[in-house]
Amino acid sequence: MVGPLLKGLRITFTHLFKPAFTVKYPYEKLDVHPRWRGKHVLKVDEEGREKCCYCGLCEAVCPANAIRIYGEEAPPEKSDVGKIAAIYEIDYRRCIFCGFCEEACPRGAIVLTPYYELAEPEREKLLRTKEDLLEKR
Amino acid sequence: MVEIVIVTIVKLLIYFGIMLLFVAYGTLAERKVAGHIQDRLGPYHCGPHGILQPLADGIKLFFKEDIVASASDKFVYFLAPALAVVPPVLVLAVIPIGDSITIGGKTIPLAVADVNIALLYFLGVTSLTVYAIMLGGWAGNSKYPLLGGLRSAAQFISYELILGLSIIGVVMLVGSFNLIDIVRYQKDMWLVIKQPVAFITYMIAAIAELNRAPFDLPEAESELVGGYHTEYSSMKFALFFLGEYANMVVSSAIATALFLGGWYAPVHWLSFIPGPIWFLIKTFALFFFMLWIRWTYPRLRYDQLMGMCWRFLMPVTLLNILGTGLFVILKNGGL
Amino acid sequence: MGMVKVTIDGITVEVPENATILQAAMKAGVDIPYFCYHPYLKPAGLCRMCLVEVEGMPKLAPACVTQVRDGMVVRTNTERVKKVREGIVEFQLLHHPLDCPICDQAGECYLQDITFRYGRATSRFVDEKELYPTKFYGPLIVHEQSRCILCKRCVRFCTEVLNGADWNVYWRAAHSLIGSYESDKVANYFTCNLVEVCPVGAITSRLYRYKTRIWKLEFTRSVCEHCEMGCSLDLGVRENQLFKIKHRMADPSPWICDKGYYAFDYVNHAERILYPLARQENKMVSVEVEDAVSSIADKLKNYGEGEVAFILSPSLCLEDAAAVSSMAKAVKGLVDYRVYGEDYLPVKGNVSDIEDVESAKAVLVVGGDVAVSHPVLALSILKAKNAGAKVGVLSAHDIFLGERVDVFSLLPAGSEEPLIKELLDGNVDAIPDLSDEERSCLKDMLSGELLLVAGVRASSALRAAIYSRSKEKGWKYLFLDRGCNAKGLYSAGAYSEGVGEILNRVKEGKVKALVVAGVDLFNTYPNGSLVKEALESAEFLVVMDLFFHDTAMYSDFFLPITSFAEDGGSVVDLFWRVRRRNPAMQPKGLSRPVRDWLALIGEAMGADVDSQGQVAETGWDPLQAKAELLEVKGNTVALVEHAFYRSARYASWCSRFSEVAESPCAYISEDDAKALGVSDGDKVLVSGKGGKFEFVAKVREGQPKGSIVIDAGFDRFPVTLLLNGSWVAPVELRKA
Repeated sequence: MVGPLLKGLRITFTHLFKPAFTVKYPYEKLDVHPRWRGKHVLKVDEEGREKCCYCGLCEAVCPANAIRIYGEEAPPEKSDVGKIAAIYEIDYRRCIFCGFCEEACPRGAIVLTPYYELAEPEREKLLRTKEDLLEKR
Repeated sequence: MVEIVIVTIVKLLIYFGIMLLFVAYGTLAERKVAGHIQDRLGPYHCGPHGILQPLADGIKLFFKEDIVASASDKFVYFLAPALAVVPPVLVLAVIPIGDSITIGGKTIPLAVADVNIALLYFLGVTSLTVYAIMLGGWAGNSKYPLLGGLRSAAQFISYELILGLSIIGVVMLVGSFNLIDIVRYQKDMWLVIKQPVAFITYMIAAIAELNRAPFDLPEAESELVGGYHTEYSSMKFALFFLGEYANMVVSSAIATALFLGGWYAPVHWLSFIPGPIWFLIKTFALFFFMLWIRWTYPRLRYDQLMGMCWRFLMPVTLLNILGTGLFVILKNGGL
Repeated sequence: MGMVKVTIDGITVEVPENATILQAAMKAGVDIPYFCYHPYLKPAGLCRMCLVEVEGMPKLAPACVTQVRDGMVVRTNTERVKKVREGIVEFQLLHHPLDCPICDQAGECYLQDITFRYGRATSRFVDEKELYPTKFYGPLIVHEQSRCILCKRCVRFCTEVLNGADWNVYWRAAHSLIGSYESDKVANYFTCNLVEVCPVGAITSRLYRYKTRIWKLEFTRSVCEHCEMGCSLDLGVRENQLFKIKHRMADPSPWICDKGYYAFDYVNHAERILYPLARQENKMVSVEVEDAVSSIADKLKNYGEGEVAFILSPSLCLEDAAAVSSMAKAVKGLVDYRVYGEDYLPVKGNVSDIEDVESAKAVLVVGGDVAVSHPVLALSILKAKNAGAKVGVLSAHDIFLGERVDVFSLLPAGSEEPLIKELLDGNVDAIPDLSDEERSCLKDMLSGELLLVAGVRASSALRAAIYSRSKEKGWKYLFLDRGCNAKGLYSAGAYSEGVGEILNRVKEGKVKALVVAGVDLFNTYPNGSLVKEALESAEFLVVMDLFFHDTAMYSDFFLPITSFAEDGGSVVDLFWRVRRRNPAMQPKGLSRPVRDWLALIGEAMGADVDSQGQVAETGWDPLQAKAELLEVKGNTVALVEHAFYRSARYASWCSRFSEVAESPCAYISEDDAKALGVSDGDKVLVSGKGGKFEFVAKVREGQPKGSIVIDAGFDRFPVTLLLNGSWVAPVELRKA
């Protein structure tokens, strides 16, 4: 009866001096898989033109209704097809990071990046607009 | 007379300070030990290695909203947390952390009060703790605290007996209830060697009295939410917490005095280290032992708890008293 | 007509013997895909999508042009038909760019749907697609030539319905392109129908272009507000913004006009006033609804009998009109809706619906440009003509219908009415500028069955003449009114002596408080100076409208009202039918319907405002009118008419209409042009009673000497200052 009790104490005592598995998160970060589905980015092409042409498929496929887009005509220096999204909003309060938008996009314009640090002190800030989402070059 | 008052007040402040520090860092130690036993780190954010965590917790608890359960019995509801802190602080008075020292021709014992019935006092006062828990459990007017309080009362009464019976052996050997005498008796040999069974039963009973795992049924989270302090928040909750840790410190300190030779060094050549430091080291060792136990063993069932008390510990302590009595008679040359 | 039995895919249906297989299949519920077929255009058999197998015929037959025979057995579900359909879709997609993500038609595209349902998954075409540039035809439509599948629906619309427009197929075979030969604009008022008939994304609306996707819009049934025709519309709303209007069904007409299709985006305009305003120290400041209502009620309470007047837009709905009438009764005030200064009230025609117009034997249009005031009616008249009717247009101004009909004469502006009166009396020779052929045709028309259409400019005296003459001769008659709900306002009793009379009384101080709802009087009333004086001398002026227009500048209180898209209500259309609108969106800001405002004000005053409108059984009897025929004499007489794109409600706030960058024109005769030394496109100066205005001269063939027509309705261009209560006035014409 006493044997197992002592064995238990031994096990916990040895673990006391084993290195911890904890990752001290804000100070050190783990590498995520390159295909991790984190924050979205709206791609631009080599000439700095927006790839998104507002076909509305991401908006339509989004199961969480997190995407809201309006389009507009655009000059050739902003889009190779003459149409861009005037408003592109992703509501991270709703987004479930399923990646359907990326899958639906016919032009590879919206891509989910491994960037995952999306927490905000205010809920409203989770509504990301086109300026936040557009790829910076 | 004035000198006595001043000395007493100074001692009180020092004792109280040491205890509060002990309690504060006890909570940190608990979390750190728990963390490391589970291969985690424990608190890490406040100060280096989380050293300021107790401070942060204190500030947080101070500023939390003080929720008062609307259907509660207000007077008892406010009384209970206060009662939780009182017994350990009172017991503090009789704990000798060192041998008497002589300042200016006056001999000052290193206990606030050098009482010759210290052990009886200890037993009497600690048994008051159950009131805090019972009243706390009842005042909230809520089912989980009530169940917690009930369990606590039964558990407390049972194990109070074991605690008392464990100590009898020591008292019989030393022939005194005075803790200072008991420590002095152990100058050459610790009582843990003479009374190993009593030490073990004392520790078990102490842990059970403290409502700590594996005997933490009154606050069993998986069944009773928070047990008797479910309805408490903010500083009232903090007082319960403070009481629990203070009780742990006090129990460890009493055990040190009873079994581990108090302020004496384990071997003579280490005597250059002052007695109080030895006392604190030993107390902390026992404190750590309680933490270690908690994070090793799973919680007992209620029937197991009671069965262990009455069917196992009770006979064992009684046998221990019998054995000790025989030893004392034989040593004194028979009847 | 005999009925025949046809079996399609095992389903036997009975159809008229002149039906096509496609129509029979529709009746049987069998789906046959098509591109070029349109129920209101003649079948063309161009796209070959509807090929079906007919028992006994060696080759597949195009269902849209093959007439049924008794006992015919048709199969649409055989392997052969399936393979052919796959082939046709593959051919259609050879050069069709697969840019559905960009295309505005995606979601309502025939080609998309048919490809999904009948097409192959892949194309075997490996060469480069032939692509053509995108062409913008004015600010209203855009033609993406690559996407065209050459179904010729648009061309057929232009030739069959418009009786010819500059829109056709150019080049040959695989290089065929549809477009306009001469200009970069499609110069007619029905361009939106090209968008509506186009089955693919080749012709799309520039107003809706790329703004949102069709599947994001929620469509609500409504009725057009720009004229009495009451075309059925679907309003497409997303997030409380009106984005698109679609023509819902062929009631009254399968076609609609540019006003109905494009003039709606003022609803979303940023300049819309959404909060009540009050004048404080000569500034308009926004006030609480309760404050505005209680102060207006307090003010109105102080006025006695005949001291309050209400002027309404003829486009307000029946319920609003009823509320205003009952309010006017409560305060013993005057009320009128005839803001265009006309002196007539709605007369119930003896034409019960548009099919009566389309099946008329002869149609004579007098006293107004039907294509501007009731554009869709012009198309119905053309349909009647194409069915063999003789059609005549006698008017001082006409720019669409005249050149497409049998008898057409531009009458001198000042003497339009006496000439028509004389014609009705039987003197065909009174009409100038007619060829012998036209004259005999006109004689025939007058002696036989005739439908007389009195345009919006025909005064009550002319209406009386038409009415009595028609009764006498057994003719049919149709009297047009301005605004979309004149008949409803008449039914609600929202009329008295005329807006001119009210304005005069305001000017004289007899009427002290004036409420103007839904109209900018400077734009509509043909006497700008009277409007100005009246508004200046009004003691208390409340304006209810969407925008802070010129009339609102004089107001003491401005209350925001809802547009037709937000306000459910009823209108009474040309054929005296009640048409219901559904609210398609939430009222913007604090705007609310006129009736709601009046109910609030009435409550604060202790008066009961009732908004239950009843439609009048009978129309007004024009024979009661004691007015004289309108006749204006002078060296040069000008007729002021709103240009088509300026005649829509709130045209100034319709983004595309303000881009139809026509500057105001003056149509002048060749003789006058020669005398002044101006040619087409030169600037001329027209001066009259209230000022001088510069116009672009348009020299028009057939325009009588000494008579000009000038455009009204442009922003900051108050030509109504030239007028004196009627739309015709003597002016002086000079070269600028």
